[in-house]
Amino acid sequence: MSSRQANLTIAAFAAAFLCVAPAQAEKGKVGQKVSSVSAKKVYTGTGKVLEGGVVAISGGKIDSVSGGGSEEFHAITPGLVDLGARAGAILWSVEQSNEVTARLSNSAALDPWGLEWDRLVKSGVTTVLATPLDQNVVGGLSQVLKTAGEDSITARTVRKDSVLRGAMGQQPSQRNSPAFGRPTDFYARRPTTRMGVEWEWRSAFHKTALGQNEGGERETLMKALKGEVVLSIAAWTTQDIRTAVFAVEEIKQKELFRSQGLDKPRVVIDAAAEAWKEPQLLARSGIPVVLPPFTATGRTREGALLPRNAADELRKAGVVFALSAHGSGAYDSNLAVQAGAAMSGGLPFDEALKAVTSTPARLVGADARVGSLEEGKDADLALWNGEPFEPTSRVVAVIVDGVLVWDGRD
Amino acid sequence: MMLATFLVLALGGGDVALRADKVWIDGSTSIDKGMVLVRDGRIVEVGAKLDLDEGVRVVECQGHLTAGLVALGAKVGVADAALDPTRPAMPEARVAHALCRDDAGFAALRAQGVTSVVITPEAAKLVPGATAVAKTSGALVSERAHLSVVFGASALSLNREPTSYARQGEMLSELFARPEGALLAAKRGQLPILFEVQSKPELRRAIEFARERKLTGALSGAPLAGELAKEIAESKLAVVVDAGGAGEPRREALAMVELAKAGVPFGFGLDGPRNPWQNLRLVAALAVRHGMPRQAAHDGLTRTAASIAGLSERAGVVKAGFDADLVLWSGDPLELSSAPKAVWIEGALVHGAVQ
Amino acid sequence: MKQHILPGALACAALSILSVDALAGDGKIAIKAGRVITMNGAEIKDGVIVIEDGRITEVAAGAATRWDSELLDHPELTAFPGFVEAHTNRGMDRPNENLEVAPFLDVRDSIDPINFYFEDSLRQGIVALNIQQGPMCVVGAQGRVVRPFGMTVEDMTIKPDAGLKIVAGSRMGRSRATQAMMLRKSFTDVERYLVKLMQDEKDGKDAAKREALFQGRDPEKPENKEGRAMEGVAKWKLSGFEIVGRGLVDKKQEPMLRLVEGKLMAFVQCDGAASVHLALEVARHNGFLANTVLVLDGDSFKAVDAIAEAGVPVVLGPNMVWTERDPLNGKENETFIPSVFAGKKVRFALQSLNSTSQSLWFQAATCVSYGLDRETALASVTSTAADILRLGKRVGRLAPGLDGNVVLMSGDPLSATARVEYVVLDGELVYDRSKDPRAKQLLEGVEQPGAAQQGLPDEEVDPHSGQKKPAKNDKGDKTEKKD
Repeated sequence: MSSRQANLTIAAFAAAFLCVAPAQAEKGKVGQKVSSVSAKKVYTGTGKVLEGGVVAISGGKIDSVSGGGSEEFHAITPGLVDLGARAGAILWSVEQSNEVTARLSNSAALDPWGLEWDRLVKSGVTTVLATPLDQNVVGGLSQVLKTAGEDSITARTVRKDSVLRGAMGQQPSQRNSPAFGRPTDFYARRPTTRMGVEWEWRSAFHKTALGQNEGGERETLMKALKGEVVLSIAAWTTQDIRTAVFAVEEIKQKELFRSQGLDKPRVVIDAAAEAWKEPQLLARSGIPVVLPPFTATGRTREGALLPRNAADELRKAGVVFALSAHGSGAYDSNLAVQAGAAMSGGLPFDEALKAVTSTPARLVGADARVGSLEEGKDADLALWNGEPFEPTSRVVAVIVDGVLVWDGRD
Repeated sequence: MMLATFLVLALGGGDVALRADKVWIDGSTSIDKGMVLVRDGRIVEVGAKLDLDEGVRVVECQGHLTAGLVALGAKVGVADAALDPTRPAMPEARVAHALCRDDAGFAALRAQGVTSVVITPEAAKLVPGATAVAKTSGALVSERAHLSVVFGASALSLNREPTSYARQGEMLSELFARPEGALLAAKRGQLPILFEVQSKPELRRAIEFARERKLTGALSGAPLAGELAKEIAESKLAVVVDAGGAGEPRREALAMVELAKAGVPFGFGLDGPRNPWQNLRLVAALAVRHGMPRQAAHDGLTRTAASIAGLSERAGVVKAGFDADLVLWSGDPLELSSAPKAVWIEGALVHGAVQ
Repeated sequence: MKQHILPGALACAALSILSVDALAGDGKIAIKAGRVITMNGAEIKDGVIVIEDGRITEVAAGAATRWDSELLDHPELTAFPGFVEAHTNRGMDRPNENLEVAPFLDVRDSIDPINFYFEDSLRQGIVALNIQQGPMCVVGAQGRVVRPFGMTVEDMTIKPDAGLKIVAGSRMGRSRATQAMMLRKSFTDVERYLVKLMQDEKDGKDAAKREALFQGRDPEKPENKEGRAMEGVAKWKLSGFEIVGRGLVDKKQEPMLRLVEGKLMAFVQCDGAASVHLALEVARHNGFLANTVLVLDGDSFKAVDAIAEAGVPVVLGPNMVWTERDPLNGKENETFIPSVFAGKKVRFALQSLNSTSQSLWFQAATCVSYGLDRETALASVTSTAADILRLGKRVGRLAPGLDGNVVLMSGDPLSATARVEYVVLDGELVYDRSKDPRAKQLLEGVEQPGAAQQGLPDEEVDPHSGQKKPAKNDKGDKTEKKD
């Protein structure tokens, strides 16, 4: 296989070595800057395919994407983007002493040395949305960040505190009442039902509009209602998806919100397994969704049904969607496998590629930097030894910000 | 005085001079066939040849004589009295008030050659209180040595606020924004802070917190702290290495070497909940085996640790005017084959015997 | 095709996909496909597979279609011999038995023909499964190779007495030493039994005769009366055993004797490299190394040199990527296990992944993505797997003389988008995707009436570590009926 004998063109770290650096190194060294990389096919993520494409890189950014190069790899795609990565969603990432903690940021719970980042990198994922664990109705501020780079969450963050995360459905409520006896801890807090969860959401929005909350809570919820931060709501089943859509539509219609400019929330529904059952509703509302991973039986958590053709049905209905592996980097369930599964349900390759690159980047406002191979964008590249998303191929090397961060070639 | 307990073993009422094969002043200086003159529990003179008065008893010691070791952050003499997770902060609490001087743990420490110890409250809340410094004879030296401030997940609980790192940071900020009492003293630099951390992200947050508020003290706990040696060196904070805490001994030893290389002042802790009586000296010897200079390891056990404990004017160095806290070892204490033969605290023999 | 009268609604639901009404011919069928992957030499473009009386009689390019045979004509599809699951402990009522040494058991009595597992296997293009008892034993039941179709176990059976299950790895709650001791003891117990049997015969005692009568064998019948010297290459062969009529050997001991005499296969489960050495030692000592297949898990691949030297084939564990942490920097290093065995030329077969139900095609495709050549990867789930089970003359290839099994797929068997469209087993069309309601639900979201809306278990978070609890390895088949 030619791609496995391929080489990376490496520019040495120090300027002093630039002139003597071999143009073609034996195998790329992790940590080195890459000046250019080529492949039989370069998929830009914007619908273009360049045969024999070369991506030139300088200063961690893409200089140019052009044709007519050698073929070091079989294919290059933009580094993949997962908005449902659940990376760093540890127990301590959410403050359970209250149901609504909009102001709190999960950045403190993220560990740049955690093993999850390397696992994601090896599966080609270079940008993720890291959210707090969905134990609260409104859990807090979330981070769009790179999966590789410096050992610092701050340095890897693409957009800090740019997404407010919350959840509908069972998860924020299911453990909230003790089975027996008196409540002994926060698990006995409110809410305990789906309608309670929904009430907490609307209450948070209305308190904000009515000026009944204060401080960071108010500030953050105002930003969410004004669309200055994206609102990511986890909702698996049809009923929860409908609840989320109706809550948003209420805001857009009520004078209370409109008069204050609080009617512009930018909502993404995450883990929307049953979105395919409500294509018209979602298309009408213009709310995009992130699908959870496909399962063997089609059943996901919360009893939702996610058939293989869900993504393609959403595409046909004009609903914007992204795919997610919920943080798995394992060969049997990573993001590329999810894209392959969506393709097995009829989704064309180009659309599958978008659903794991440019679309998720755009949904969290990170598309100026990541999600496609275009001049001036971050040089985040997944390098493949075969056709992307086919189970006979895998990501064999990854470049983030122009640096080779993983090389798994033999 | 606690010394009364050890009267029988003491060096005697009058002046006593100890002569050893090698006397280590600190990690960098030693005297072959050196002598240490002790009077009333203190070191009076140290040298190769002392001009001794007549009647001064000279005790011949075979082996190496060093300052007594200083253990940082041991849970000794407090049993479970320091554990109180019910509320998020108790800045005025003092672990000294819960101290049991007859605790068998003191004897175990003495047997290791440890003569001073910093006792910390359990890190089960954001601010669990003040640490105490005691001699391993049981005598209390300071009942408010540091303020313990916890950045580790051990302060989080599902039974009370905070349950998250985010709220932990927010609450600590609130506490330091309107400080009183011990917190005020800590903020003004009058009371050093012992930042309890476990993981590297926690350690980094503690550094940032300290830098923003110009707080001083030491980072305590993180077994892999050395992997962030550069950042720690810039912060000017000292480190208490919680040896054995991560369960990756070789990696931890290499991390300690990095601390020494970066010039970070550090001492050794016995805080590891897995193995509270692990041997302080063996941890240091392991670090030497992995490349730590002998001097840094020796000072980490004695001089630097004493300074982190607030004892820099009285312990950790074999020096005139300092407490006669001494250990006689069968050989170089950083050789694994050596063992403590005799331990003195303020001139009183508290463990072993001079043969 | 055969008519099945199905009792009960569940059975009806389970077999509704089987109500395929095409091909009512009597034993002759010709299958035309645009591409034929034979796993027996080169691929054939526009080929025909002819099956007569349940066996393949012809595989050729453009072969003349017999006027009297039914025709399945699909130039758009790819014909394939179907996948072989070389080892599984699913499809049974319960996979584990609480007797530690029970070679007299047979999975026949545990296999549940209407378990959805078989239907799922058919849907994935699997044509043969080696069902073995679970790993919670020392010496387990006799396994059985079955096809994923049929109303009775006999109807499903491809090969009874497929081999004994032996476990060399440590079991839950037991030390490795205990397991090793019990495994060795199970063989010395057989030896001791046989010695006593000989002595009783010399002493004229009739306990064995009475036991034989009790077990339904007449010890006076010539075939039972006839003695035979002990065969095989075990290091402890008894001389003079011919004085004992073979019909006197207790049924409970007889499978172990057959194993020691080299007349039965053994599937020896190893949970790591340490247990591989025990497995090989026990197999050598007791004379069944040549009949051993190692079923590997954990870091067993580290013993690859010993395995290669012993010359035994292996069935690799479901998870093909082994991850280890570097003790000096805490980073994870990966080993792709099939590459290790391919590199040492050890014959290997793969298993499906139960946790995500990624089937054999996906496992083989993953091998290709890690650099194995396509031929080896495909063989590890077809022809090599069949050879390891000693069924190379029946399944795993498309060639004359083999069982009439053909899987028709919509594309390359290793591609993301290919689906199993038809399955023919023993010349009988048993699966047609267009009539498979569960496939409709999975692929198109068409819910079956009355199907329980049962979700996956929650991703539990351990309140102490804050880490996600690992998903349970779905080995018990109790839950499978519900979904």
